[in-house]
Amino acid sequence: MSYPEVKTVEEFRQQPEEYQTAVKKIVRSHSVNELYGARVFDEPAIAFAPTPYAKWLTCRVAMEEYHHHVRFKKLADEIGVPEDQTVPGASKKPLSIFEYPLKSWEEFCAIKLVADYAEILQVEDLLHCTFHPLRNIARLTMPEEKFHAQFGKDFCTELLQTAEGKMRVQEALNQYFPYLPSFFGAANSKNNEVYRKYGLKQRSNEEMRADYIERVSTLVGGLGLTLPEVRQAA
Amino acid sequence: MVNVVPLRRGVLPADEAPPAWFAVLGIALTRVEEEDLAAYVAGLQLPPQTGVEPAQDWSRARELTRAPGGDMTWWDREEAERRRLTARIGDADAVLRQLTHATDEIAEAVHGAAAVAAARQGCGDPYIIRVAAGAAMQAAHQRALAWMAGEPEHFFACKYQLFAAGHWPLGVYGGRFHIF
Repeated sequence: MSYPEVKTVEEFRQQPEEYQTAVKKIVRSHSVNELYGARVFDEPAIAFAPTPYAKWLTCRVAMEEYHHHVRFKKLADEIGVPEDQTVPGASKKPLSIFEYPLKSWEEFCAIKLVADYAEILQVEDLLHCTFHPLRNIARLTMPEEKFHAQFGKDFCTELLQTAEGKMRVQEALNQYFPYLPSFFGAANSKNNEVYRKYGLKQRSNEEMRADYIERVSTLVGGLGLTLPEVRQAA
Repeated sequence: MVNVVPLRRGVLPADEAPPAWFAVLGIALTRVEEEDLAAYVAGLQLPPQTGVEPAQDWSRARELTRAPGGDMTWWDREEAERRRLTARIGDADAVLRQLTHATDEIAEAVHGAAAVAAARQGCGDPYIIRVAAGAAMQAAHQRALAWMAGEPEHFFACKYQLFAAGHWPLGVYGGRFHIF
C-alpha cells in the first residue's frame, strides 16, 4: 500500500521521524549540489564562453542553477534543515565531479550534455513524490533542467563540426563521465530503500543508474561520441 | 510590476523608477539615452572612430552576438573593471553572495520582460531570450557592484540606465557599437 500524500509543511511535521529525516536528506542534497554546480561549473564557464551570446546565455543558465538552489534551500529552511547543511561547506561533502575545476568551454558543454541529464533523472524521480512541496519544486525545476541539457547538446553539436572540437569534447567526456554514475548513489542503499518505502522516490539507485547510462549512451552515440568505461558505485 | 527593489535595498537609491526592461528595443534613442550611451562607450575606452549603429530586431541581435571571432576588447574591459571593483569591496565573498541573491530576485521579471518583448516581434527562440535576460542581469549586477564599491557614477551605471530605459546595448561588432 502506498504512503499517503503529505501536502504541506505542517503535515510534514506530523510524519514519522524516519519520513522527515528522509525528506531532509533529499532536499539538503539538492540544495548543496545545485549551488556547487553553479559555482564550480556555470560561473567559471562565463569566462570560457567564446562569444557575447554564449557568455550572456551562460550568465542566465548560472542564475537558473542558482535559483534551483534557492528553491531547495527555502524548503530546507521551512522543514528545519540546519543552515550550514544547506550550502556547500565543511559539513557537506560535494559530489566528486565538483572537485575538478573547469578548464575549457568544451568541458562545460560536455558537462551540460551528460551531467545535467543525470540531474533530469534525479528530478524526474521526484515528480510523483509523496511530499507535495518537494514534488512542486521538481515540477518547476524540470523544464529548466531539460533546457540546460539541450543547451549542452546544441553547443556540443556546434563544437563537433571541427575535428579539434570533437577531440576536445570527447576528452572532456572521458574525464568527467566516469564520475557521473556514482551520482545516483550506492547499490543496495539503505537511504534509497527508505525513500521508496515512503514514496519519496520511485526507483532504486541501480535502476536509475542503468536507465541513465542507457539514455546517455544513446544521446552521446547520436552525436558520434563514445562513453568511457564506467566506474560503478560501491 | 517589474522592479529592482531587492537590488536597491541598502545599496541603491530608493527613489529610482522601476526599469522598463526591453520595452523600447529597436526604437531610436532619446537625448538622455544618447548621453548614457556616450558615457558608457567612453568608459569602455573604445577607439575614437568607433561609431554607434542601431540593431532593429532580434534576428540581428542574435547574428551579431553569436558571430565567432569578434573583437572582445570591450568585454575584457568590463571584466577588468568588475575585478577592480570587487577588489575594492571588503569581504567580497559576502558581498557577491548578497549580490547574486539580489540578482536572483529580479531574474523572473527580467526573463519575462525579454520573453514578452521577443514575442511582440514574433521571436520565440528560448536561447536569445535567455541571452537577453543574462545581459540585463549582468548589467544590474555590475551597476550594484559599482555602487557598493563607492563609485555610483561608474560607466556600469550608464550601461544599466540603457537597460532600464528599455534598450539592450549589444557591444562592439565590426568596429561599431551596436544597440538594440
